[in-house]
Amino acid sequence: MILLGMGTVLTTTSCKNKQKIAAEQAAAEKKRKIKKATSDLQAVLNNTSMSADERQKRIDAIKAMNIDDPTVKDLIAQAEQSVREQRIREEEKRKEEAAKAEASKKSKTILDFFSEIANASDANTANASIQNALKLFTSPQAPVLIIIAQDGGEKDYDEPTTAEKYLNYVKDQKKMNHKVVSIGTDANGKIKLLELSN
Amino acid sequence: MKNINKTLFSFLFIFAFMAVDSSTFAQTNADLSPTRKRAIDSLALEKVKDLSRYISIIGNKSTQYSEAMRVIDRAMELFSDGAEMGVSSTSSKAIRYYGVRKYFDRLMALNYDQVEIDWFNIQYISDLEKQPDGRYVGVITIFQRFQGKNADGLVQYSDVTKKDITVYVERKKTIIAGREIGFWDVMLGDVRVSETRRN
Repeated sequence: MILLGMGTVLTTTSCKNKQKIAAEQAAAEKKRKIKKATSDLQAVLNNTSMSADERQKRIDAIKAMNIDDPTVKDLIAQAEQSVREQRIREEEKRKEEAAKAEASKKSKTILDFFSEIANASDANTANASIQNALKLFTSPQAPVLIIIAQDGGEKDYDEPTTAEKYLNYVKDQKKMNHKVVSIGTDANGKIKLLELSN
Repeated sequence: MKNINKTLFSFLFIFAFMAVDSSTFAQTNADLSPTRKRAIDSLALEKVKDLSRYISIIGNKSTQYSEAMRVIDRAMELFSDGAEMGVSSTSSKAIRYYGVRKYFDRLMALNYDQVEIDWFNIQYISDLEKQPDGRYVGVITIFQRFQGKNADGLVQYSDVTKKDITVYVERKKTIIAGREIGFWDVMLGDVRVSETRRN
């Protein structure tokens, strides 16, 4: 009876010890996870060379660990905000590059027309080129601006003209001395504003 | 006390008026930087060269009527309202002045089979100077070589005329695609004949 009692006490004590050890181990594991997650999230926050997708992937892996810690949760929120901002910047950059590529493509085309019109052998040939060139514009009345000077942050322009008038000017003067500065296009890629300079 | 307040009010009023007046004065007399001044000098000269080309096209007998009419419209845009063009000949000392539109119409109808007109030595004889009204005014001189030929290409009449063109340049603003654009409006005034000789 005494032995049975002792056995019960020992078993209870051993169970309690096991539970304590397990709890300590769990706490240590959680601490380790928190430390690792904190370190990884700070790396995600500080690493600007990583793509937004790569950063989000790392954040998702940490989120999947379901760490219930206010510091980690706060860092996750910060990292996700940082990724959102990076995505906006990346999207803007992509759009900018696409616009530049489009402008470059368009400027070649419009420059080709300028050259064709200026060097046309007669008025009829030049007029045909003008009609084709006008197809690149939203309308014959699309504005054409010519910068004549830039000084102290201020731009001086010649009197604004239109696509049709400018193309005829190139034909009449038989020259195209202006450089394309920028091309504003509409959703269909047509030129809605052409900015030139001397 | 009432008198002191009245005096103080008068003083402040005069001071405020002087401050506004002097800032306006400073603004209207502000000189352009050399870069901007050079740019408007070149712009005005360029407009005269453009006119030279338009006159050559209008006078050319091989220019289609519709083209000539379009070019006349473009050339008209270069001139201020009421501008006149002087016309001379080596056979008479008289110089006639026509409204610019009439001059272009007459030029198109000249009784030669071929007409060649070219302008050369285009330069300022009086630099663009700022006027009290804010406009810049200058005079550009040009030499015009005129040749009227028959169907065989033989010259029937030719002369060289020196002409002085008054140019007006004014800073204006407009809105294009939601942006405020500051531009220089160049207007040509009267074209006066100062010398005519045989070519």
